[in-house]
Amino acid sequence: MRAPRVRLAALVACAMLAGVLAFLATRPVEQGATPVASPLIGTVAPDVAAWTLSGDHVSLAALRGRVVVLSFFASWCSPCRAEAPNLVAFAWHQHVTRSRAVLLGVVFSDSDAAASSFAHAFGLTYPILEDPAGAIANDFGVVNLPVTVVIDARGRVDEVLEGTATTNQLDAAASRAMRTAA
Amino acid sequence: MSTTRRAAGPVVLCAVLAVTLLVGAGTFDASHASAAVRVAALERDVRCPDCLDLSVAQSSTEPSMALRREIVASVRAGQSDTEILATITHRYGTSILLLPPPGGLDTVLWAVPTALAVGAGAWLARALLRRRRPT
Amino acid sequence: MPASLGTLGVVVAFIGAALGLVLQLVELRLRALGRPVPPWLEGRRLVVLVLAGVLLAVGAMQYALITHDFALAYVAENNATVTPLLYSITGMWSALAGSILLWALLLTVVTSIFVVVYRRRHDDPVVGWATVVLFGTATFFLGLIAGPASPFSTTGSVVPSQGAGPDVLLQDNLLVAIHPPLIYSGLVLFTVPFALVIGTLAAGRLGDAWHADTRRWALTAWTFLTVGILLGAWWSYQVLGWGGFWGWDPVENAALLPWLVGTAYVHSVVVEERRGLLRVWNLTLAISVFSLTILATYLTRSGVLQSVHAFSSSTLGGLLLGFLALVLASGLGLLAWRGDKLRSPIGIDAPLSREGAFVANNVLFVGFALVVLLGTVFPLGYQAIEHSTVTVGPPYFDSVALPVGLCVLFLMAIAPALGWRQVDGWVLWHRVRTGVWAGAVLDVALVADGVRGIGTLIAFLLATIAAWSAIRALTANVQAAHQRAAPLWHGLLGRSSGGMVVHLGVVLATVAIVCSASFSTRATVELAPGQSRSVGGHSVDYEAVQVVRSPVRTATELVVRVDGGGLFYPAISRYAGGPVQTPAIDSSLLGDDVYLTYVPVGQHGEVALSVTVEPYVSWLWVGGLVAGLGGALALARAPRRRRQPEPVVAEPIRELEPV
Repeated sequence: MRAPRVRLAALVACAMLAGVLAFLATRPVEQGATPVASPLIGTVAPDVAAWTLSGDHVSLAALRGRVVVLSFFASWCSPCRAEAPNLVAFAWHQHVTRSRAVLLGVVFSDSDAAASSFAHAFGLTYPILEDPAGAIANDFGVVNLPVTVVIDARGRVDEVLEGTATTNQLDAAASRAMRTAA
Repeated sequence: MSTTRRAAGPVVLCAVLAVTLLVGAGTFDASHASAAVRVAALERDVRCPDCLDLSVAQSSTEPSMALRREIVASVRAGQSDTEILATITHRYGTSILLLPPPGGLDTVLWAVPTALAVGAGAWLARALLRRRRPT
Repeated sequence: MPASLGTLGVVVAFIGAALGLVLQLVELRLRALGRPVPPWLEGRRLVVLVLAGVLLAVGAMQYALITHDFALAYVAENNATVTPLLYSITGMWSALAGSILLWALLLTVVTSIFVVVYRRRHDDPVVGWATVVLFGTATFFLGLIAGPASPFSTTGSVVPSQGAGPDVLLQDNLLVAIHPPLIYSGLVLFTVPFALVIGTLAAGRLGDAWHADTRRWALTAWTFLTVGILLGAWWSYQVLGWGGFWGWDPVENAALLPWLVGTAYVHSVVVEERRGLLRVWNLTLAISVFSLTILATYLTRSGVLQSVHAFSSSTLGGLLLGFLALVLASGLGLLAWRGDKLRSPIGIDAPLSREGAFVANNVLFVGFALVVLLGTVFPLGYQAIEHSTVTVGPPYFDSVALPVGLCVLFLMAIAPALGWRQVDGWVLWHRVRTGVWAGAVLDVALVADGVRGIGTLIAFLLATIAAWSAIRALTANVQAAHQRAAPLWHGLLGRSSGGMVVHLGVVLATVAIVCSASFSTRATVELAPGQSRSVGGHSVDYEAVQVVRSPVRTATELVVRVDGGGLFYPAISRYAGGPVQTPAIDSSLLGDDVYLTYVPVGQHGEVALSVTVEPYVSWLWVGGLVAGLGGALALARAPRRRRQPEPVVAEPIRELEPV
């Protein structure tokens, strides 16, 4: 009887492939942004009152009763570029479901002209706040971009995410904030 | 037909081809290691920051154009390829290059095709030279 | 309403498939025990139910898309009231959530065709087991659609009045209606050779009776997949704006992998048919191709790799991997059980023979597939070990593809001139001599013209010889038809001629790829109105800018005259979903394509035009279509029977007891 080479080869292949499949099965999907244990969580968010790039005035106090998502970005930040379409999709989802959640961009350490052309290039449909003195960023302790801050309807900081947030993450964070305020 | 006459055709052909390919490989041309060639090579290795598969050479988005201008300026300033790539990698992360950084795990990426080629060549030679077994 | 109808359709189809699977297994058991099987117990009849269910679901989705019913979340995300009819219909597969419906539809249609084609042999255990595999695959995918991958979720109590519209890149080109169905058909059709392989192994039918059928299904699948991939490249070329056609994107690679192994398979089955060799290898290849199609589905839908096409859902990834594990386990398990009885005791007589060339072909294609797979999943492994992200892009894949491509050209050059078993070196030389001289003349002309680059020159040389060998073989076949007193076109039908036509198509495509890699020029020019520039030997005149509006699209178009002839309109188009570049191409079949893209820049009335001159790129599309034609010719049978092939010299295979 000849050595059962096919059987051996098949079993070896099975073992190797099982290893590869197990490896693939344990891969994280959508790396996304990581939650940060910011000291602000649970506290009332610092007040924000600023002008948008298009000349309107926005303040957090006026938005009390709605979930507010602040997205800190800059035109020179490349993960922010990756995040931009996710933010647009998130804004669309909230608009379509009439959830009354508000998405606001905040310019971080960048010129308004550059932020404007970034917003134009990526089709950002939500208001973008100017922060020329860096006061808002300072209040929220923003150092590394991009940072997303989720504020619930009572004005308390619910979550702080660092990194490129995916649409699913933003939707989920907004839903959680709406539940905590209820 | 004698072997010599039969061989004349192929031999002449081989000679023609050898000369053509030697000339065609640029053996006799002046050296082209100019700045333009270096810039082109660097641009092919750097990924466009907004895109997933394109190099900055192929993309016309603003960040790509900015990176291309930076590469041209750096080459003109006399920086070496390694320095230029290191600066860009430091700013954007290792995924900005279209190839993993050399050394370490990256050798696997090149070792596997080489091993496959050598192994395949050896196996092919063995399989093709194996004579018919007596039944 | 469409949501509930759609879900109903999917559930009905799922139940039909699952029930059909169970009944088919029962039927196999009963037949093995020698008991009669009443017609109502035959699982295959339930394919009607599955088809009805899937058609209902597809119909519901199409109805919702065409009537712009935004109650369905999928329609709200991929359709708008202004979307034209064609793009509403193709909206079903414009996004991954809906395209799995297209996959299910094609899988059901293929299963139905299989049941009909083999209805007279339905009591054969091979057909029985193959039907089990087909129903099992259908059950799995329909289960996915019924559950985690359902495209019928609703937008909730508040229905939006306007949708987001299709992805901006998917609503201005007709190829969106052709490429996805073709490529899905190719991938789905590879289920049948796998099913037949499982069938023959499980039924213990290890002789040659089923090989012809398996080969024909595989060749059909290969033809669809080849044309599908080619059209995908053409589509990318037309819309993506960078003048290229292949980016080695993970999803592109995912579809390429089954194609590479499929090409190896359609060649090595010829060796099995002629000489009785490579039986176990062919079974392995058939199992591998199908496994790679499931892997392709996994890579596209699991979100595990970053890609322009990716979608993400971790549940889906896990389930697809589970199914892949089941496929591999059953295939490899059956091979482990019965494979050793299939091994041929003889080997290849001489290296310089057609068998030798086919074996070399297999080694090349499978080896290249392994390297492409490595490059595609390498970032995952790197991330796991070094904890930083890397990209493996075109520089890697292109460097590996070049030597492989040259070797493939070499094999195409000599294999048609090689005989079976062995060939005298002088005979081979005599057959390829004209081609080699022609190639040498071409190379001399190119070098004299200033072309440099040894890879390019060798490629042109080998391509010429390959074209010559193919034409020579085709001429011989046509002459043989003439001698049989048959119409000349009969000589073009059948596997040998079809294969040579495919080779010609591949040669055309390779020439286009080499030209694109070596001779294309690209420049970004800044022009004021009325100015003109010359790029790569073509003059480009910027005449004016205009704004064009339609219900779907508002675009800023540049009016550009190329070579003093036609007008072209590269533009930046704004659809509901956002802005996108719309390139304009001055194509020509026997010369250069001039590819124009409007690059947004400056504020002073100047525009930047990116001009890429691509010589002979049209040959790539033509070559792909010729290869598709060749596949169809290979499947066609001449009305009169061909002579018997050489008798198979192999140990007779004992028929084993059916399971």
